[in-house]
Amino acid sequence: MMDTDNAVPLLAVEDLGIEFRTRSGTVRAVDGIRFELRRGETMALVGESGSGKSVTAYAIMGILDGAARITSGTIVFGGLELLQASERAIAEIRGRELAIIFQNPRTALNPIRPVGKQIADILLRHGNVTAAQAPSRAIEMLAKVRIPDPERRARSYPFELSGGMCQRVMIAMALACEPQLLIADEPTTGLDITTQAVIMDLIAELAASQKMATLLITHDLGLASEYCDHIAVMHAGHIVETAPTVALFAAPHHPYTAKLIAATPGGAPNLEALAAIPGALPDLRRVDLPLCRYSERCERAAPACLDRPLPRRAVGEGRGVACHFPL
Amino acid sequence: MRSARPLLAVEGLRKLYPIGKQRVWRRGLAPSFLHAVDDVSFTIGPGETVGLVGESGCGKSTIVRLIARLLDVTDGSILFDGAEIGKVPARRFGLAPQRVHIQVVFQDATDSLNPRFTAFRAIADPLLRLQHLSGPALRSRVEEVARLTGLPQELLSRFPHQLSGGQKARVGIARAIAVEPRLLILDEPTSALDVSVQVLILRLLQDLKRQLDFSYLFVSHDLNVVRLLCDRILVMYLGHIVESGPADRVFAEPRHPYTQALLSAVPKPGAAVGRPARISLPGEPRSPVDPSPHICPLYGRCGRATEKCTTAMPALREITREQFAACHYPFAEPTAETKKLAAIA
Amino acid sequence: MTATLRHAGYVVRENPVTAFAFALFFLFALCAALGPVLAPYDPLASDTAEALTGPSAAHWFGTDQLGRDILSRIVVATRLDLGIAVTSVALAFGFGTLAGLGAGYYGGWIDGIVGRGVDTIMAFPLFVLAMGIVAALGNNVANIVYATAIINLPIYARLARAEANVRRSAGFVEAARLCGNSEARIVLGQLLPNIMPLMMVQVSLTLGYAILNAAGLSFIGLGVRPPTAEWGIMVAEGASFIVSGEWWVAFFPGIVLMAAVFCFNLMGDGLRDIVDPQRRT
Repeated sequence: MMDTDNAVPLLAVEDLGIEFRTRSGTVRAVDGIRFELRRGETMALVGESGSGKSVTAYAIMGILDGAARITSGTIVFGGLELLQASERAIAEIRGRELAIIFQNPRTALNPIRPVGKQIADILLRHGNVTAAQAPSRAIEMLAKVRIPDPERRARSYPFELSGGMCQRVMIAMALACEPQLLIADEPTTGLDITTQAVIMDLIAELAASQKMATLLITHDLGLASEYCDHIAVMHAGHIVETAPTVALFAAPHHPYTAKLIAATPGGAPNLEALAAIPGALPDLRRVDLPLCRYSERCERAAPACLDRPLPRRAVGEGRGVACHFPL
Repeated sequence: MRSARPLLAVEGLRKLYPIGKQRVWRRGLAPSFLHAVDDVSFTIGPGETVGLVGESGCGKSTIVRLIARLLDVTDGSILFDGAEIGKVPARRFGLAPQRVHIQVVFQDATDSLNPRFTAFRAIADPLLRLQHLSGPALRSRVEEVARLTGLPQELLSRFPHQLSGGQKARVGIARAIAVEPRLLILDEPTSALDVSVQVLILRLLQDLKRQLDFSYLFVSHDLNVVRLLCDRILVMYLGHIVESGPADRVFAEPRHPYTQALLSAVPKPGAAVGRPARISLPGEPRSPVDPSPHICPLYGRCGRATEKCTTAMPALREITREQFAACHYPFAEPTAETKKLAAIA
Repeated sequence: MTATLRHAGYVVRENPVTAFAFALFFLFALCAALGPVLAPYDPLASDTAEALTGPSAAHWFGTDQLGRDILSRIVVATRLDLGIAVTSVALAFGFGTLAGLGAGYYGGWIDGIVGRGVDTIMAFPLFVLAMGIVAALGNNVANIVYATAIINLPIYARLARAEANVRRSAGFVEAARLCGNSEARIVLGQLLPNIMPLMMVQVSLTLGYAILNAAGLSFIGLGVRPPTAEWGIMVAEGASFIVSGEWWVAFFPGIVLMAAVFCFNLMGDGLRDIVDPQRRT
């Protein structure tokens, strides 16, 4: 039963914890994160590699690695608790209400199947189309994502298409059944700058026309700021700050957010103004991790940061920060 | 007193790849060629940092390999400090005296380090082969270079898979500067790195340049990084240089339509409000196989095109002081669009 | 070097199977080196009074039809069998790897020639080819070695070629050229170390094949001639006695043969782990 009331969030993640069992120890990849997404909103999960953003996305889709274990929390999507639901229930909504597009579009597509057939597969599985209608609907989707000459391209294989076109095909597959939520996991890494702009514009346009919510996973603050209303900054498995985009840049409250903004080349007037982030990501296999995982790199750290549980403060309209001494 | 002669002078450089097998029965027909680099000319002065930007397929990787003499030149000349090195075959360049002076830092440090070599051995390689150092002299030079690039001594005995991305990048830089080259070509050195590591590596490159007086050819698709590091930039499209000039001026007042489109596509953090409309290039790039020498490479995607653009290839000419563009209708005056771009640059 | 030895120690300690294989190999190597000294009896001394006696305190593995002590013959034969195996594998590995590396890295006519050569060898059933070579050139140890080397060469050539092909466009190869390495140095100094782990596994498998090959040739009479002690001949000579109940004449050489092949196969993984730096954490 899909909940369409806008007061209730479409996606609500609460206290999510994910661990990975590896040969060298248990990696506490995600620890107690929470965020919400409403219908039609765009939100970015921004973080460096190892921050846990992709893992979070996969947990929502239910496609985590076999070595992963969800240790706590709930993910409620349209009234359905995803972590408790049966595999059948999830398979029903995955692809139809909940869609994902991946990095490296060419490798995410089936290399030995023409792209038109791949789109038709999704339509047949989830949409209300007959086998006879599926091919033409697939061509319609290709036209919707502005692939030129869609009838001919529907017969092409992924290796015959450029990276940008493969990504468009993936978008077509993801949007074929008009999902309520699209998760885009680093969709433009590896694409040219102009292609990146075109792809992101396309996603934004289609999302607006279908009133679809978008969750963008990226390491690029610039990209997040251009396309998303809200940004959640992740560090070492924690969400350290969430805020509307403009407010985040105008006045970041978490020290890591401020440092991240200062380290991004796009925003700095010259090289001297770029600031390095001191220290390194803590090893998430440690059992003695401080409760604030940024404290070991933070200039404002105090003894309280090590063992007092992180507060999740609301600091204004739609903003939250996880810090004992916010800026 | 530094000589005014440019360190590197490239003139009319071309690289063509024959397409398709030459079958016996096709001998009567002329073969097809892919024009990877088409009539490129530029200079790099001593101590200068020149940025080379462009998207995939523009030819910048080919230029890197041509100048580093890893590839043979089809046509044109490459003068390094007055000596013609373009004519030396790539196979034999390892023995040329200029080999020491032109080195490359590669994009993917993981790929460019031999997985069987320790960091020490990787850095020692050019010293062994080109300067014939050995024993204690070798050891001390490797340690010195490691210190210069901020690589802790204990990491020297590690293998690439035991190093982090940033550490591998430093090993790649250390190897390239060990023999004290005069021209360092950096092929996207930070694109595989996290933002925080990227800052450190860029700072390192800046410091090294100041200390050791290199010239850099900095190739990147990340325009934000290029803007911070480079004195001059060259914009490439489909094997041609379409614009060149001082970096801050090209960013503030681009003259060529392609440069404009490129700059408008760069995401700017925190500048969502008041952004100018995106200038997009519709369609796909023209085919690089046997392109007509009379048609501008951007024709078909450019909003300012006229018939003149199909009958005469625009040459790179000076539009305003020190700014060159290859266009029949360059932006000579700032437009409303470019003014907005400048405001957030 | 010490790091390698330390790592080798770690590999052996970590995996009991590897440790067992190395211990067994050490035992074989000892027998090969000190065979005549270790053997309790003269392997060629026949004592017809003692013929075909079963395992006993005096003769642990019994005696054969000419009264020779089987244990002594087995110990002395180790040198011959191991020698044939190691030499032929060394030849196959050496020439095959070089040919394959050249073919994979340079391509062109080198690839053509090596490819046709390998195809020619592989067109024959390999054991039959070995038989043919030994029959044509004569029954002696040298020819057994050559025949075994030739039939095992293609596998190294193909493996090396495939690996060189993949790696020749790797970044570190370009970087090596920038460092002034000549093409030959790149192939031998940079590419070869990278394919060694894979080759080590192949070497251990081939050692097993080589012993079986030599034994097989001897079994059908094309290998070593009596009265030389060699595991294959001993199995052949003993085969006819199984029916009449004297099982030990063929059994013990057969068991040792099997143990040797087994040992080499098990060693393969261990060798690869030692040689490959990526196994080190």
